[in-house]
Parts: sequence; C-alpha cells; structure tokens
Amino acid sequence: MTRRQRKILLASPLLGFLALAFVLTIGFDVGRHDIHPSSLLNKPFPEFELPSLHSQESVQLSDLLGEPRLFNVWASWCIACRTEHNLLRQVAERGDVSVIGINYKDRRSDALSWLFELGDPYTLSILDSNGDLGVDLGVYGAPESFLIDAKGVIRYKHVGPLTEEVWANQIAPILKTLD
Amino acid sequence: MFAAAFFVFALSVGVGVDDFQFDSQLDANRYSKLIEEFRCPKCLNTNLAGSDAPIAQDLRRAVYRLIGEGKTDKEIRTYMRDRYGDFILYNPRLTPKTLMLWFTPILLVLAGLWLILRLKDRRSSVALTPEEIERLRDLTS
Repeated sequence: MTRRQRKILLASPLLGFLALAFVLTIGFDVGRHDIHPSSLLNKPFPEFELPSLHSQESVQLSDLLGEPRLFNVWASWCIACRTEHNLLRQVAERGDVSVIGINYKDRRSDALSWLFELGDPYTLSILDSNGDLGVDLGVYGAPESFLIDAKGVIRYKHVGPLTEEVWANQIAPILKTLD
Repeated sequence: MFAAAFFVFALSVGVGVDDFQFDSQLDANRYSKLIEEFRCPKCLNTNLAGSDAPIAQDLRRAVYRLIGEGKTDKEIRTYMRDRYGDFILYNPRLTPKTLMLWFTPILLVLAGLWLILRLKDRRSSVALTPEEIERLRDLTS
C-alpha cells in the first residue's frame, strides 16, 4: 500500500461521515417541505352528514354543491384562526366566495361565543366535534382551508392561516377560473 | 357440542383492543398491526399506537372504522397516504424519490465487502521494499 492509498483509507471514515451528513441535511430539508403534501387536490371533497353549528340541523355535502365554496377548518381553541379571521370577514363582506366553516374538535358553546365576539363570516358552520371529517380531509390541525368548485372537486388547499398574499396570489386567480 | 357453543359465544363477545370491539381476532390483529405501521402526522417520530396526540386518537378511530367497513389493509394504507402523504408510512414505498433510501444500505455493504477483499488481497502478498529487505537481513544476520 502506498502512502497515498493509506491516506485515502485513513480519510475514508471522515469522508463517509461528511457524505452521510450531506445526504441527511438535504433529506431533512426535503422532508420539511413535504410535510403537508397537497393530498386530495383535484379529488372530490369527502361526503359528510353533520349538524350545523347554529340550527343543529343535519347538513350534507350535496346541500352545498352548485357554486364554489371555501371550506375553512376552525376552532375557538385555535390561536392562529384569530389571525385569519379578519381576512375571512372581508371575503364574506365582498362576497368573493361563500365560506363554510368546519368547526373542528370544539365545544358548541365555545364556538358560538367565539363567533359572537369576533363576527361570523361563515355562510354556515358545520360541527365536526370528534374530528372524523378532519381525518377524511387529511387535516393536521386548524386552520386549514379547501376551495371546491361547483361540482365539489377540491381545487386548492391551504394549511395554516390565510393571508392577504395567499388570497391575492393563489385563491383569487383560481376563483376567477371557476366563475 | 360444547365446543360449538363456546365458538358461538366467542364470536358474539368479539375482541376488544383499545376502546374498540372487533368482530374477530383477525380484525383485532390487523388493527394492532396497522396502527404500529402508521406514523402520527404531528409527532415527528411516533407511530399511531404509541401516541396520545388527539390526531393519533382520531386516526386510530379511522383505522377501526375502515376495518369495520370491510376495507383491506392495502385500501387502508392508500386511504392514509392519500390524505397524509408518504410521511405517514413507516414502511416507505419504492419510488424514484425513495430509491436512495432502499438501496444505499445495500451499496454500503457491497462497498465494505469490496474494501475488505481488497485489503485482504494486499495483506497476503506483501512485497518488501529494498530498504525493508536490507533491514531484515541486518536483523537476521
């Protein structure tokens, strides 16, 4: 074995470690972006039959089809939901799209007083008290939003609070194509 | 007769796992195996079986419901993957993105074997340098 070969051999554990560190760094970064995959995009919104928050009458998906809707997963315990609430109220006032609330794993009384306090931008809210519709939608937590077309196909999904930027750059352009 | 009666009794009682009642031991086993297999989406490294997170409880309930609806294991895996992505599978599929994950260990073992064989080869045929031959002669004379 020449000196040169011995040097390479001695350096190989270090080189191996650096290579592994490099791969893992990239891997973790890829994983982070992939953590909320655009699952269910361009697939039909799952069927449901749940009570409405106010009247407690049963609501089905078929009752809501025929026009685009923005489903918004929210809860009174959800801090981030407060930050997007103003935007949702503006959307409702402008009449951009009908917003349907999915009250996620919440107590009905808490949900009602939350809306009373902050204003109610929702055409109606449905009660997903045990989170079953949430699982069917692949929800990680509140808030999340799903834009569906008149036929009930999911055209856009957003995880986390909606912002002016997301609205202007992502949702508004899709809404235009749905009219 | 007794055996038949016992069998009917066993069937009617069902099998309980967590808070759920299953129609058969087979379904109960499938449930236990599936919740071991899925990763809790909100916990970075815990499976559904080992997590108390509310979402893990919801997903366990979903697995139970899907088994009750007569879905196969494969259909349940697809259901979860469609909603929560590859992240939820502890046993990743073989796709172009996961090629490295599956084959790097094999490549490393092969590289190691190659290295061992090469070193062994060298060791069995040690050639002395002229200086070493000189030194050996000094030492043995």
